[in-house]
Amino acid sequence: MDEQSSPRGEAFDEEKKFEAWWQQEDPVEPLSKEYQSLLDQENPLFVSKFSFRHRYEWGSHPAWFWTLYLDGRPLAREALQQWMSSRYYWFNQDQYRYLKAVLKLAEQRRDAEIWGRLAYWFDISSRSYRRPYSHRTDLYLRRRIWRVLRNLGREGASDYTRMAAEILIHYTPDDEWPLWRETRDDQIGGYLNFYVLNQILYRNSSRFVCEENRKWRLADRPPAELERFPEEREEAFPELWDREPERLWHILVNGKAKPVIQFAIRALKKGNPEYLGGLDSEAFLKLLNAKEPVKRAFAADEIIARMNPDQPVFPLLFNMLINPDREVRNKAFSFVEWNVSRWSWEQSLELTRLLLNKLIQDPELDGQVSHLLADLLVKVLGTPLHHLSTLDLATQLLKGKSHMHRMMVAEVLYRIHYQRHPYTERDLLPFLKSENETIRVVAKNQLVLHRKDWQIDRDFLSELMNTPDSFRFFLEEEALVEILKGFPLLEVAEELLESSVAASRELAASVLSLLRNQPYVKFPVRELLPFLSSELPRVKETAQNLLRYQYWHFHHDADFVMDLLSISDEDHLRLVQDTFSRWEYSWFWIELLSKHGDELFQRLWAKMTQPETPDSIRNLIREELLENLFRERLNSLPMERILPLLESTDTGLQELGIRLLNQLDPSPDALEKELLFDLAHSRVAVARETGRRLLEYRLSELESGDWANLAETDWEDTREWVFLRMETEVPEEEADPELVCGLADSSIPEVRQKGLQWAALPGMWPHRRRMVQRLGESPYPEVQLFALEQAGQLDWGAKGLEEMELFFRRVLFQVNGSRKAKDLALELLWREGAAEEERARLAVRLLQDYLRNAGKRDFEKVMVILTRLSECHPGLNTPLCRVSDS
Amino acid sequence: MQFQQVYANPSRIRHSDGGTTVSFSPDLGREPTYFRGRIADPIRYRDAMSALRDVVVSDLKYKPKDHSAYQAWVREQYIQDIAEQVSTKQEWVSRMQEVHARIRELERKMDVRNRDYNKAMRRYFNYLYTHDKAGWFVLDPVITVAPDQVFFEAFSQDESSYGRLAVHEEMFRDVKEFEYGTTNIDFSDSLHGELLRMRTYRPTEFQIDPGGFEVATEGREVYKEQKIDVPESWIRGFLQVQSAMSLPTVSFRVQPIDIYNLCTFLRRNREKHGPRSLRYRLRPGQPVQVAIDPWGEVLTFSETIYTGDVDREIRTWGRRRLFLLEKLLPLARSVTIHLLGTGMPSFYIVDLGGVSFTLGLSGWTRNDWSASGNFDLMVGGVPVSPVDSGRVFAELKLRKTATSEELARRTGLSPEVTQSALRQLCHAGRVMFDLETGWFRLRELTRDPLPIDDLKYNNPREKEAEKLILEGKVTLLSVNREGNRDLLKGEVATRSRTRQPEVQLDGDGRIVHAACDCYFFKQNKLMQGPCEHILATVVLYRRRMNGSQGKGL
Repeated sequence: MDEQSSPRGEAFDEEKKFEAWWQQEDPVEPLSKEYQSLLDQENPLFVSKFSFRHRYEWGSHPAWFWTLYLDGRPLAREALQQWMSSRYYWFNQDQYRYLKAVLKLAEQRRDAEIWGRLAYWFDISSRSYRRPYSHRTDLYLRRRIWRVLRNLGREGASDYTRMAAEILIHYTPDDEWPLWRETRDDQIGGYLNFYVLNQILYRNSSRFVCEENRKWRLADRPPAELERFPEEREEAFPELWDREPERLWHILVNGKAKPVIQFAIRALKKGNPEYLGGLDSEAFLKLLNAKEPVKRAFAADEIIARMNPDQPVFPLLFNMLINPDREVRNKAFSFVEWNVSRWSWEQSLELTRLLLNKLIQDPELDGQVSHLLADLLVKVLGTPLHHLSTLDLATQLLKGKSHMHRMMVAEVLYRIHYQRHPYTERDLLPFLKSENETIRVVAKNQLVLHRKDWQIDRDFLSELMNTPDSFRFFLEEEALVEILKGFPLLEVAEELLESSVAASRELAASVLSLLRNQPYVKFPVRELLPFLSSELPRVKETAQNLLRYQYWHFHHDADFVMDLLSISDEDHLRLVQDTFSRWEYSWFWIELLSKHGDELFQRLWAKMTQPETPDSIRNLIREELLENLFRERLNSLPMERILPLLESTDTGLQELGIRLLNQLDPSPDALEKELLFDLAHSRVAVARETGRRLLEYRLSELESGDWANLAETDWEDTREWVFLRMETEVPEEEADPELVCGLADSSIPEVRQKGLQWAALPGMWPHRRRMVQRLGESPYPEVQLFALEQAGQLDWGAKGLEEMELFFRRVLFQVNGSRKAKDLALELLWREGAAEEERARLAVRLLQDYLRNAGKRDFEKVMVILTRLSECHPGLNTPLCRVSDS
Repeated sequence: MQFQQVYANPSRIRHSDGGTTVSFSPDLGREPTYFRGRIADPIRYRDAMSALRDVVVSDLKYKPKDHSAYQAWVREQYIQDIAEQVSTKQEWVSRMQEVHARIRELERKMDVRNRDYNKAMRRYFNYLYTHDKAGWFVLDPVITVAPDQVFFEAFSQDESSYGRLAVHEEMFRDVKEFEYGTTNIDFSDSLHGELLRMRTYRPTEFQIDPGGFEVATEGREVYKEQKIDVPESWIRGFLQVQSAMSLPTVSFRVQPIDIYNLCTFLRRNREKHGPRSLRYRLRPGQPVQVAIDPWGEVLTFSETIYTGDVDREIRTWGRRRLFLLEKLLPLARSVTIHLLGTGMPSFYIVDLGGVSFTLGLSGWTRNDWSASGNFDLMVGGVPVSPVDSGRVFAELKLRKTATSEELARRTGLSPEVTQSALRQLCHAGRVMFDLETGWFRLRELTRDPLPIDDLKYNNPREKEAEKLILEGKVTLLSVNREGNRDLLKGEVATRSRTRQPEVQLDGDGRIVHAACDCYFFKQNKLMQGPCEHILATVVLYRRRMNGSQGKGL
C-alpha cells in the first residue's frame, strides 16, 4: 500500500501516522530450519541449494524473498542476487507483494544493486501475461522508479548515477524479445518499450519523444538522421555522469544493450577523455574479446589510436588481426596497410613471421581470418614473405584446411628463392599430389624450371601414378613429356593400368600412344597383352592400333603369334585375323613364316588340339590360320596326325580331319595296316568309309588276327563289311583257329557268334583241341558252353586235363552259372577220371574244392562222381571216407 | 573338390601281331610314374581288372522308380473326371476327349515317322554312353608303382566299395623301365571290352606309358584334360574305408567255395524286410559260421577255424556287394576276411596267385545320416606334431614300403607316435596300409594334399559329437531290446544343461527314430540328420558293442 494522504477533513495526529508493513522491516516468514541452519553456519552450499530449490519452495513461501533481504548478510544477499539473475523466472501475485516491498525498502536504503535489478525487472515486464498486476500498476511502478531517479538527479545526488547504472547494466538485446526475431540491438526502436531506460538515456534526445501517456516513440525525422548515433549528449543529467567516469566505465564494461554501451562510450569521450586516456591498454584488450560488437569496435579504436605507428606493438596488432570481429580485423589491417612503409625490415619480418606462424599453428583457422592474413601477407607484406618463403614453410602450410591456406602454399612455393633455399624434385611430391590445382600447377612449374638440376627417376613417376591430375603433367607439358619418353613407356603404361585409381588407368592409353614416336623400341607382344585385354576402351584401342599399324615394335617370332592367340575375346580375335590378313604380303610376315614356320605350325597344332583351348581360338586356328598360313603343310599331313582329329570329340576338329583325309587321298599302300584299321573303326562315317575303301586293296594281306581285329568294332557298317569280305577272302575251308578264336574272343556278341559258327565247322575239327583250350579262356558263358560241348568229344589225357583246370574252375565256380555247362563239366571230369587214375587225381583235386557246394544238386553230383571214381580207382585219395559195406 | 587330370593319349589295349599291349596313360599333372613289363598270367590280371571295374561302376543306391509318365496320365484323367463331374459343361468334356484322342493319334504317327531316327539316335547315344561317358567314374583309378608290386585302387560311385588290385612282382617278366610313384590313369569304359580279349596265348605287354612326360609342356598335344568336381562325401568315404584298413581287425581265411555258397544263396533269395545283415559267429576253436538274416540260414566254413580267444558275433551289411567277388572265385586260392566290428567296414582279400584283390566295404551301402557317425573311423591315436608326421612321411617316401616298427626305428620316434602319424597320413590319403602284407605304403591319392579338417566330418554335429565323447560327457543309460529293435537312452552333459537323447535302432543298426530335448532337434527333428547328442549316443553304443566283443577302438 502506498503512502496515502489523510482522509479528507481529518487532521492526522503524528503519532497515528500510517506506517506500511514493510516499513517495520519485520520478517514475515522465517526460512526453513535447513536453510536457516546453513545460513547461520555461513555454509556456501546455502546459495546453490536455495537457488536450485527456490523454484519449487518459493511458491509456498513467497515471503522468503523479503526475509532474505531483511537478513542482509553477505550469504543471504548473494543467494538473493543469484535468484534474481535468473532471467526467465517470473513471480506470482504472492511474490509480487514482497518484491514490491523489497523495492521500496531498497529505494529507501538506496540499495542500488537490489533496487536496480528490481527496477529493471519492472521496466521490462511489458507483457501482461507475465506480470501479476494490472497495467495501471505497471505504469505506476515505472513512473515511480523514474521519479525516484529524477528526484535524485534534480538533487544532484551521486546516488542518481549509482542507481541508474545498476538499472542500465541489466538490459539485454533479448529482453522479452521472441527468440526467432532479430535482437533489439539491430532495431533503432528496439528499446522503445522500456520507459525507464529511455528516460535515462534519451531524456534530452532529439531522436526520441515521450508522449503524454508515458510512451516513447521515434521523433518525426528522416530515418538516416534517426539511425545516425549523434555526437551530442542525449541522456538525462549528463553533468552528473561526467562527475563519475568510473560509473560510465562500469556501464561500458558490464552493459549488454547497445544503446547503453554507446551512451557510456559517448559520455566518456565527451565528458571524460582524459579518463579514457588514463586507462591501461589491458582494459581495452579485454574489451576486444567482449561479446558485444560495439565494445570490440570501441576497444579497437582506442588501441589503434594509442599505437605508435612507427613502433607498433606487434603482438597486440596481431591479436587484432586475428580477432573474430571483422571490424576489429579491418581496423588492424588498415593500420598495417597505412603504416608498413614506415617500418624497418626487421619489423616487417616480425609481423610476417607472426602471421605465418599463426597460419601454420592453426590449420583449421577460420576462413575469413585466414583470408585476411593471406591478403595481408600477399598484398602488403609481399617482400618479407618472399624472403621467408622456404619449402619447409610451404610444407607446413600444406596442412592447412582452408582455401586461403592452400593459396598461401602456392604463393610461398612460387616465391621460394631456389638458390638460397635449394630443394629436390622429391620435395615437390606432396605439392604435386595436392588436391588443389593451383598448388599442383605451381609445383609443376617449379619441376619444369629446375628439372635439369634433378634426376627424375622411375620411382618419382610411380609416386605420381595414383594422382592422375599430377601425372597428366608428364603428358601435357612438353618438357616433362621428354622426360617421360626417357623411360620404358610400356612399363610405365603397365603400372598405370594396375593403378587403383580409375582415371590413372585411363592415362595408360596416352602413355602407350607415345610409343608411336619411338620406332626403335622393341618388345615382345606379350607385354602388350594386358592392354589388348583391358576393359578400358581407349586403352584397348590404343594397343590395338599399335599392333595394327606399328608392327616394327614387336619381336617377330612364333611367340608373337601364339601370344596374340592367348586372348579369347571375340573382338580381339577379329583384330588378329584382320591384322594377319593385312600383313599377308608384308616382308616381315613372310620372313617370320619362313624362319619360324615349323615351330609355329607345331605350336598352333598343339594349341588347336588341346582340350582347354577356348573354342573361339581353336576355331580361328583351324579355320583361318592353318588354312591360310600353312595350307600346303596341312595338305601333306601324315595320317598319324589326321587320325587323332577324327577321334576328337570336337566336331570342328573332326571336320578338319575329314577334310584333310579327303585331301590326302592316300594310296592304299602308303599307310600301315593299323592305321587303316583305325580309320575303319573311326567314329566318323566318312573316315570309316575311306578306311574300308583303302582296305579293299589290301585284303589279301590280312591275316587271321587282322580279320578279328577289324571285326572288333562297334560300327555296324564296318562289321558287316568285314563279314562280307571274310566270306569271299576267307572261305570256310581256309579258316584257321587263329581267326576263329580271334572272332570268338570278341567283346561284341555278333562277332563272337560268328566265331562260334566257324568254330563248329568241320574244317575246325582237326584244331578242336587247341580251340577248346583257347575258347576255354573266354569269360563269356556261351563261348564256355561251346567249348565244353566240343571238349566232350575229345579225349584229353592227363596233360590236357591239367591245362584245362582253370577252365573247369571257371565253369564250376560261376555263381548262378549255366546249369548245362556245369553238367557238361562234371560229366567230362567223370569220364576223364574214369579213364585213368592220374586223370582221376586231377578230377578229384578239382572236385574236392567244389565238394562243399551248398547246392544240393551239385553236391549230390560231386559226391556221386567221387564215389564212382573211388570205386574205379581204389587207391585214389578222395575226401570221402567209406563206411563199411556191411 | 576340384581335381585336374591331363592325359597325353587315351589308354588303350591293342591286339596285334599275335600279342596284346595294355597301355595306360598316366596323369601328366603328377610326378612321372611309369612302368613297362610283360605279364606272366594275363588271365588272372584280366579277371581281376574286370572285377575292379565292376567295383568302380557299382551303384547299389536305391533308385526310386520314375512314375512321372504315370503321374502325367493320372493328371490328365483327373482333369477329364473333373470336367465330367461338372454336368453343365458337358460340351467341354466332349471337346476335351476329342482333343486328347487327336493328340494320341498324332503322337502315334510321329513315333512311326521318327522310328528310324530314334533308333539311330539311341544307338549313337549308347555308343557315347559306353565310350564317352564321363560319369562312370567319379575319379579315375589310381595306380601305384611300388618296389614289390603295381597296384590299382578305385572307389565306387555309391561311395561304399573300395577295390584294390595288386599285381605282384612275380607276375611281371622282362621289366624294361619303371619309375616309382602314384598317378591317375585314363580308364574309359570302352577299355573293358578290349580287356576281356586278353588271352594267355597272346603275350601281353603291360605299360604305364612314359611317353607323355618326354614332351615339354608347351607344345604338348594333350588328348584329354579334365577338371572334375569330386563330391566331398566321395573323398570322405574313400578315406574312411581305406583308413579303416589300419585299424585292428578280426581275420580268418575261407575257401572260395564258402564265398561261392554265400553268393549263391543271396542270388537265389530276395529278402522283403530287414534285418539284412550277415552275422559272423566266431567261437574259439570252432569253424566260423555266418548266419544270413532274415532267414537265419547258417553257413559253416568248415575249413576255417577261429583262433581268437573270445566269443563274438559281428554283423555286416550291404552283403550284396560281395557279388563283386564272383568273377574272382574260379581263380582264387583263398579269401581272407578282415572284420572291424558290427557296422564297421570289412575287407575281403582274394589271393589269386601272383595277383591279389582287396574288396573294402563300408559299414552300410547307403552312407546317409541314418548310418552316420563314420567319422570315428578317422579319429583316435596320440596327438602327433606336424614335424613328427613329416619325418615319418619323408622316411616312407624314401623307402616306399615299410612296417610301422621299421619306421619307428629309423625315425627314432616311439611306436605309438609312429603309429599315430601313419594313421594321420592314411586319413590324409598320403599313405595306405596294406592289409595283405602288414606294410605301410607310400601312396599319394591326389596331387595336392587333401584338406583333412574339412573332410573329417560330414557336418559340424559329428565334430561336436566326437568332442563330447572325448570329454567323457556322454553316458549310455540303458539299452532295451524290443522285438528286433534296440532302444537306447543316453545322457549328455552340455554346458547349460543335461540332454536326454533317445534312439531307436532297427535290426540293421540304423536309426529309425530318435528324439532329443535340444534346440537343434526341436527345430529340425531329423530332417537335417541327428543332433550331436543322438550321434554321440549311437557311436558310444556301437563302440561298446564292438568293445564287448573283445575289440575296442
